[in-house]
Amino acid sequence: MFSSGAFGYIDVLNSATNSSWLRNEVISSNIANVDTPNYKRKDVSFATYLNSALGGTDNTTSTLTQRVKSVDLSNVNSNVYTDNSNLSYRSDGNNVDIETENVELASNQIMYNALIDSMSNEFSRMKSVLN
Amino acid sequence: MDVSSITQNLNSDYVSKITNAMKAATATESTATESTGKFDSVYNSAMGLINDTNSSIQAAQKAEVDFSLGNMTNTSELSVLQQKANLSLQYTVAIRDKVLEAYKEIMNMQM
Amino acid sequence: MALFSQFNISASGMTAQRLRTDVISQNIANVNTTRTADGTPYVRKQVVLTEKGSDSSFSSVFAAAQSGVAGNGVKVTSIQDDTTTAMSKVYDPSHPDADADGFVTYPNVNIIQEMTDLIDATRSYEANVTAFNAGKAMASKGLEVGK
Repeated sequence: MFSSGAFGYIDVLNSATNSSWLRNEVISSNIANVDTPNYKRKDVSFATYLNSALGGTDNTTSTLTQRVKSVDLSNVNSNVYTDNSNLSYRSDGNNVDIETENVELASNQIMYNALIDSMSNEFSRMKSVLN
Repeated sequence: MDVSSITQNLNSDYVSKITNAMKAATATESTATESTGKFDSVYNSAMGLINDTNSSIQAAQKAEVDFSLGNMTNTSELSVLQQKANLSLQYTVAIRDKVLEAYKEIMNMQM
Repeated sequence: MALFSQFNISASGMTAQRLRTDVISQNIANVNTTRTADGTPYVRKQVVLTEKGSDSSFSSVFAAAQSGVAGNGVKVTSIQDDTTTAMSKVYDPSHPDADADGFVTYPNVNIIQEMTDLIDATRSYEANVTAFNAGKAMASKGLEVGK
C-alpha cells in the first residue's frame, strides 16, 4: 500500500499546508514592519509550482489520481518573494497596506483550516477501511 | 460473475482494498454447485454501491487538490464533498462486513 | 529558534508599537514645555524602526539562502530628536523664558499629528495582536490532524 503512492493526496495537501504556514509567518512579518521605512512587503508563491508539477486538474479524474501518486513534490517549494508591484509608496518608502495584510491573514487562516480538515478526512477514510 | 470487469476501472485505493477483500472471500464461490441466486443479487447491488462510492471519493479528492491550488474557494462545498465521501465509504464498509458475514454463515450451513 | 518564529515576529511588532505609543504620549505631555533639564525647550522625539536582520551565523545565512525566510520582525533602533520641524516662536515678553527679543520658543509638537500617530500606532498594535492570535489558532489546529 505504501509503495503504490497511497499517501499521494496527503503529501500534496501537506505541501500546501506547509506553504500556508510559511505565508502566515510572512504576513505577520509584513504587519510587524508596517511602519519601518523602506520596507517592501513579502509574499509566498506556491500554487503555480504545484500546478505545473501536477499538470493542472481536469475533468478526467482517473488520471488525476495517477498524477498525484507520481508527482515529485521535492521540486515544489514555497518561494518567498519581495512584492514591489505596489507603486504607491508612502513618503517613508514603505509599501505595506495594513488592511490588505489583515485580509490576507484571515483568508490564509481559513485556507489552512480547510486543508487540515481535508487531511483529517483522508486519514479517517483510510482508517475506516482498515476497520 | 466476473468481478474484474467491474473493478478494472476503479483506481481508488480504498475501494480496491474492499473489492480485493470481496474477491478473496468469494473466490471459491465459482466451484460451489448450489445455486446462490438471492445472494447473487445482494452481491450485485453491493458492487453498484462501490461505483458510487468511488466517484464520490474521487470528487472529494479532486476538490482537495483544487482547493490547494486556489482554483476553488468554497469551503462549504469542500466540506460537503468530504462528508459525502466519508459517509458513502463507511456505508460501503458496513455492507462489506455484512456481506462477508452472510456468506460465511451460508457456507457454514451447507454441511 | 525557528519553532515559533511567527510568535516572535508578532511580539516584536507589538513591542515596537508600544514603545512608539510611549514616545507619542511623552510628546503630547510635553507640548508646552519651554524648559527641560538642560534649559532648552523640549524637542519632539520620534522612533526609528528597522527590520530585524537575522544573526550573522553561517547556519542562519545558509538556511535563508536555501529556502524562503519570513523575516525576524521589527525593532526600534533609536529614539531621535526631530530636528527638521521648526520650533514655534511666540511673542510674549512677560514669560520668564523669553529671550532678549521677547520671543518664547515652544516645542515643535503638533497635537493633531501626534493624535493621528497615536491612532495609527494603536491600529498597528491591534493588527499585530490579530496576527499573533491567528498564528496560535493555526498551530493548535495543526495538532488536530487525524483526530
